[in-house]
Amino acid sequence: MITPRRVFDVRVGIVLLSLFIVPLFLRQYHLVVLNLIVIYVIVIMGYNFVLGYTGLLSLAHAALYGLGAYSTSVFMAKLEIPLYLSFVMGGVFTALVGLLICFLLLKTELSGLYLGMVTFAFAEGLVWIFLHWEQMTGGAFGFAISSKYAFQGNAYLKSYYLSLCCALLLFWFAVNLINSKWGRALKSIRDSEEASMAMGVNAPAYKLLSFVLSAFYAGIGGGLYSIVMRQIYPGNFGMHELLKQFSMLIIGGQGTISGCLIGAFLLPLLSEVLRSVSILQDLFYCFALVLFMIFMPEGISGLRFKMRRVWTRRMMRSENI
Amino acid sequence: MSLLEILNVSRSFGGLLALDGVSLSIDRGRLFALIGPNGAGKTTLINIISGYYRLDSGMVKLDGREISNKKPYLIRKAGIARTFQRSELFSSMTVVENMLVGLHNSIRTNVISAGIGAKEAREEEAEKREKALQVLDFIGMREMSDVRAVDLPFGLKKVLELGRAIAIPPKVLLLDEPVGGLNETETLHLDRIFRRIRDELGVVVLVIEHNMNFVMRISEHIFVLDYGKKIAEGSPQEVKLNPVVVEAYLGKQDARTERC
Amino acid sequence: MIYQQIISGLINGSAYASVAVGLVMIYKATEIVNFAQGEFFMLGAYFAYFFYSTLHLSYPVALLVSVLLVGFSGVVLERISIRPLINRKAHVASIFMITLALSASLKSANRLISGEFEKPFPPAFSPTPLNIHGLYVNRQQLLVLGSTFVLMIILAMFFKWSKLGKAMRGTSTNRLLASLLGINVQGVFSLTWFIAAVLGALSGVLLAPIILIYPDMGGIVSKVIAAAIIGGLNSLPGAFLGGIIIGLSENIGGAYISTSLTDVTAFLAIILFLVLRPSGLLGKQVTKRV
Repeated sequence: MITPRRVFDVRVGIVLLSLFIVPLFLRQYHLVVLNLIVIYVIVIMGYNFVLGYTGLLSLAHAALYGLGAYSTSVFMAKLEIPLYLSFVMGGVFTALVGLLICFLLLKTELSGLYLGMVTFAFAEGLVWIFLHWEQMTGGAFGFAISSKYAFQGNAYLKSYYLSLCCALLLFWFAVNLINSKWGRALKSIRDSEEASMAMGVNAPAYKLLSFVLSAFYAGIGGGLYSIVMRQIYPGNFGMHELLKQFSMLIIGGQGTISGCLIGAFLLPLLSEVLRSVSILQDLFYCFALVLFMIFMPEGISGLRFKMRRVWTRRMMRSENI
Repeated sequence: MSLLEILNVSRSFGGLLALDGVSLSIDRGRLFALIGPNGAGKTTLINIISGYYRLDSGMVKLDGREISNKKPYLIRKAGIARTFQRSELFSSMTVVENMLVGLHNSIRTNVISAGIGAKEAREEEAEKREKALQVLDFIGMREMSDVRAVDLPFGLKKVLELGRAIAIPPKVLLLDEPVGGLNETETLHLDRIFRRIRDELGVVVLVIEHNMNFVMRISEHIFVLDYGKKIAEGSPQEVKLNPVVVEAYLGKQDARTERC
Repeated sequence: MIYQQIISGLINGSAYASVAVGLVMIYKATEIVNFAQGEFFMLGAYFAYFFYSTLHLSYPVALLVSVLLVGFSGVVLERISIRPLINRKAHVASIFMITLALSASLKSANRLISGEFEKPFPPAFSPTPLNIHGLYVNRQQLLVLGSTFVLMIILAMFFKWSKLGKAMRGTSTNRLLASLLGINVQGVFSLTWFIAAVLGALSGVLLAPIILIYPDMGGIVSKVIAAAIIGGLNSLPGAFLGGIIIGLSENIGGAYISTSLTDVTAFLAIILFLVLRPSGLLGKQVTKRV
């Protein structure tokens, strides 16, 4: 398990150093791929809060990611707000929309299948807005950020370092939060909402918190995406993207931070490898997801836990309790 | 003045009257039991007191203040803790983490401090962890602190559930069949813990149980429910000899099957 | 003019209704919302295209074969991907996700096999419309309406009077009790998926000559889910009603307000109903027990 103390480790230091240095030598194309991976780390960590830790089936994550992208683009290119401020505002705006969605749903107790369907409807609704509010979003032609608003000079390298720094900060925040009473409260809601309330956990409030937090992460990720790509389309943020993100979370291993990292790194890399057979890419994601959900629902990081549990069980049996 | 007052509480479920004007008075310093045949309404009453069900009429008061229909987490904050009939441990978390959730209300760190890893946050976390281990000591499970709750044998799950509920000592502890499914040794173990809870922590305990030996041995005052009504109360001796109680358990045996 | 819209609305609506009834059947039996229900619709249309247009079998034969094939695919799907999760007592939300993934897989697979573009489905009957009291309907549309109507009656009779139908109702009400009474619960699940897949496919085959077929046809599932929610997720008549309502409002709204709005009405309906009236128009309230 990743705890705040374990983060300060030599191996981690080496990985971090390489994350900072290697990109200086990468070609533009690979730099963008790495950048997207780093962005996905942020996005999937956010998804993990709401789906992995709290156990809420939110299908709105990709659309909120899109909202972050669109709002950042609007702030930057239409309202001419400086880049660094824009994407933070994008994150906050997305979080506020997440809050609004939650308020509307408070009556339904925010759980289970109903939440899945409502968030699905919201997601499709948001994409519809991206597609039809042409004045603001450019509609089907997408939104392009002209270069005068984006990074100057070595734009891709700068975008990468911005994404990396954000990812590190948000990662630190997530790891700390998970290992505190806040993370435990979320997990307790997932494991047994009744029991958690009996312990004094205000379940509705925590569910709201996890949803808003995940929306914030999604929004920041989306904002960074629009800064890197400088061209976004409504189609980027629909069910296709949602399945991608869901796959990363499930295959990597939901409910664990290491799972997020695995998913965010592994899947984009694999899909790059399959780039030559691009039509298969789609099928690959969905198929892999179905297989994992049937045979390995705890994901790759779950394997490690499974091993530990088998070992613990053997230990308990031998001690004859 | 009693600590916990249940005043004329009634509740129906779609036409079926589960509780019919039940009144109980629970004072400090004693161990109470709530017994009755299956379907008498015992768990329903517990669920109403702890905030999981709404009551149709009547009132629940704690320390003179009305707590009827409040949410479960607010009722816990007010000082009423409960356990569940089926083991509701947090299966993905370890024993000590379960206990730490029990300490939830006592942890003051706010979300920002926790997230940035501030010094006060880390210190409080270490402090609460130590406290959790102390409670584990109290229930005799300290060595198992890093075991996943789902891997515990059944008896220890029940013990942990109890310990979790008293991590922050409540004023009243409601236990829904705490020794159900346990053997003699395990039951005695819990017996000892109950007495310590009553004597050392000063917690008032209300137990729902079917294990009559256990109830007679440990409780000081018993309430008997049948078909949603309180039909008797008194000391274990009084209740055991009460003909109404005997008939409720033995006499209406055939009618019992209609209830499910 | 509005009568024409009403007719078209009823026709589309009855297609939605059929698929929605299939969805609700699965929900009632297993508490699962099957996102892949739209894919049964799509598969029905594409299989029919293959048999009718490519192999030149007659339309009724193509219909029968396609529908049965999809029915069996439904059973296979259930056995391979849904059953393991049910046996693991997975959360229904997870099962919903897997149906979403299955739906996407089927869509991609179809895209690979049949290509990206829409295909026109050759008409099964003479396309000249019949004139009934000033309203124009062609034979295919009549077939859609008529067969849905007949199908609903057959289903209603099946559930009310046949032994199998009663077994299915029992299983959906109380699974444990049903199995204790000797009902083969696993078999009921498979049968439920079979019927649901057949309903979906039938709509697809019948509607195919009227609309273009394209790989994303499964997108109808959003409207179908909306229909089911409007009617009440645990109500079969509700699903039928919901389908008709969606069909009507789409056509009337589309003609008099705006066509782009028709896409989003389904989503709005889902949100509004789940927030304000989760049990739908005809559904039953469910209380939680601790």
